[in-house]
Amino acid sequence: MECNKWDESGLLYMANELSQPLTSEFEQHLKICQCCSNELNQYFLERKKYFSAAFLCEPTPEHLDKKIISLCAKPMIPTGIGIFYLPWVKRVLFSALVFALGVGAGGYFTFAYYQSKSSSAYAQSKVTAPSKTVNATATAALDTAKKSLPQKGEKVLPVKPPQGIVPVDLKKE
Amino acid sequence: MDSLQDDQVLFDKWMRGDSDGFAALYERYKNRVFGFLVRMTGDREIAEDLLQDTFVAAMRNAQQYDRQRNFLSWIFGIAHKRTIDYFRHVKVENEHLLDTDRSVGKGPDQPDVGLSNEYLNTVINEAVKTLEPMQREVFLLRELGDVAFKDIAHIMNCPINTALGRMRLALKNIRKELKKRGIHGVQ
Repeated sequence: MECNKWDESGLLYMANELSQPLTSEFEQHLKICQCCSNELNQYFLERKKYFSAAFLCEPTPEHLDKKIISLCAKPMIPTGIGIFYLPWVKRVLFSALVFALGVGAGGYFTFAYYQSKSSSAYAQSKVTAPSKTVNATATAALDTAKKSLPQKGEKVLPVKPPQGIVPVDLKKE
Repeated sequence: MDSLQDDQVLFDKWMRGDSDGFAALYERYKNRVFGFLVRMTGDREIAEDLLQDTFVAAMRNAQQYDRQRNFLSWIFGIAHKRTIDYFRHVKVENEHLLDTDRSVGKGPDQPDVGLSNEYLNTVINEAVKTLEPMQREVFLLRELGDVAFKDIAHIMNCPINTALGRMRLALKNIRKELKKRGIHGVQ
């Protein structure tokens, strides 16, 4: 028959993972429970006799040891800039770098946007605005045309046909 | 100075670029980690590759090492991940389970008259081999790595009661196997 207390606490007790009150409680229980006491003794002796490093460990080949030590034992952190490997320094530097990149990228795009906007406006103004000479000629032509038009209240005379040409009344014909 | 503090000192030495720090840590734990990998994969050559991967990964992720944690637990955690990756990669997990099931059905071997260490070694390793992979892993993490159950639960991503349950089953099955092979408990 198995005692539930062993299932609850036995392995944790052996692993020193029980809190102080639970450890005391389990030790008190061990004094009165033969089942848990036997289980504890058996596991303790099994660990000592069978589950020891002598049986469960495996020797590693020498060539592998050399290879792993040569791969991993190299200095991981250059001592000169070792401070940069401290976690908080790394975090601060990383944040500063991200911030700087963000500001740089934002600034670049804003600059590019305004630059493109102003250059397109300049190009548009170049296309639509006439030159001063063209403008003056056009104004003079417009004035002449306006002058040639009959003014308000002025009688418009019929146009005389040139000599030698007799007007024909088409109704009579 | 206890082992935990000693590991921290060696780890710090390693971090400062002193190769002796790593060499000492490696010498201290290589056989345990290798034993774990050999028993989990069942193949020495694969275990050799995984041992190398484990320590290289430890080197690469050294900045993530939580100093409150036991160094050995951390290394076993990495070894566990490497093993899982290996099984995922070659997709042999089902075969692995089938192998285990087949070996559970083996009949009892005749024990030698005197239980020599060599014989015991064979019998214990055979018994461990018959465990289901999850039970075997909990058993090896606990007995080889001396990893705390809360860390085993963390490594295997399961509740602590599941880890404890697997350990209980592993012990029960190992005892059964040892009995089959003529070892009747501990005198």
